[in-house]
Amino acid sequence: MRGSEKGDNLSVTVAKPGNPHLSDATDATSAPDPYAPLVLAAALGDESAMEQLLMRAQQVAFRFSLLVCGHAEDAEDVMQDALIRTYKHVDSIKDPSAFRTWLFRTVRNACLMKRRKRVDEPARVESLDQPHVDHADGRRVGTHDVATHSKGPDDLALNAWLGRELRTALAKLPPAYRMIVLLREMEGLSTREVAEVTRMTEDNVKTRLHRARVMLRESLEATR
Amino acid sequence: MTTPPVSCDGLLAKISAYLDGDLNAATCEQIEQHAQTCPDCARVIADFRATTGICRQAADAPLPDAVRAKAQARVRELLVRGPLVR
Ligand SMILES: [Zn+2]
Repeated sequence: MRGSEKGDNLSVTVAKPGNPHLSDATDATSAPDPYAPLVLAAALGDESAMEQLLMRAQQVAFRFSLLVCGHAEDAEDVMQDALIRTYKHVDSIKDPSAFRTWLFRTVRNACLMKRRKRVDEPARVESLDQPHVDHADGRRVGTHDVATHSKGPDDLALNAWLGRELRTALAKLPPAYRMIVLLREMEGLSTREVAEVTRMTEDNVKTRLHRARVMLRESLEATR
Repeated sequence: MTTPPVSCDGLLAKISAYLDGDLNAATCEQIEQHAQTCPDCARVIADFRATTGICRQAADAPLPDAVRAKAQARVRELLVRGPLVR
């Protein structure tokens, strides 16, 4: 996978910057970056690539709104925001492989802004970064907003989209953990990229991911 | 080539690092040796893999139809009229 030897910088194989002190196996669970080739093509005027990129940006925004923030009614605005920002951003991108962390960061910020505007729940603004999980084994101390109970696309459609078991299991996680699960497990970002998006240390990302996996496994187990 | 044993708790603590390829070969071997003789831990490893698999699979799900239609309409409008229209 790694190290396309082509010097041609139009090559769609975008080598990950990677961590020099870590082996290739580190990225065993991260997925190839689907955005970089589209960014490159879109910047060169390929309209179909631009369309695909804009759809993907909205898809990311939808997933993030629903799964991390838990407010389906915000999803439309966050999608619109991601759409416009991506469209404007494409021309100025110097490093296509940096696009995906930019996109997730942008969507994360848009979600936080939406939350800040919710006068009825100001306390939740910071909960994306503060998991309120203090037990060493990752057991939760507090309870949090539940992503399954919200307006917008109806529950049946959302369950069909993601699967009820996974939605329920994700909803039980603190938002900060949901974010890491979404970025790392679902979107396939590397630990380094997740750290970049969340502004956490890589060690912190790894610790939280591990705890989140433990909790997810328990929840999924319980629904079987 | 024998490696010192790892406990069930020790394995559980390292399982994410193991699955993410963050461990050295010797530690990986410890874990694999333990799993060969401990069905409980072998199942935990399988469960962790399955959990990640379920998440990855879910990420491939296309947007719900209604959401997708709206998203497509927004893209078309943007590409036709430019970014100033909101
Ligand atoms: Zn064991």
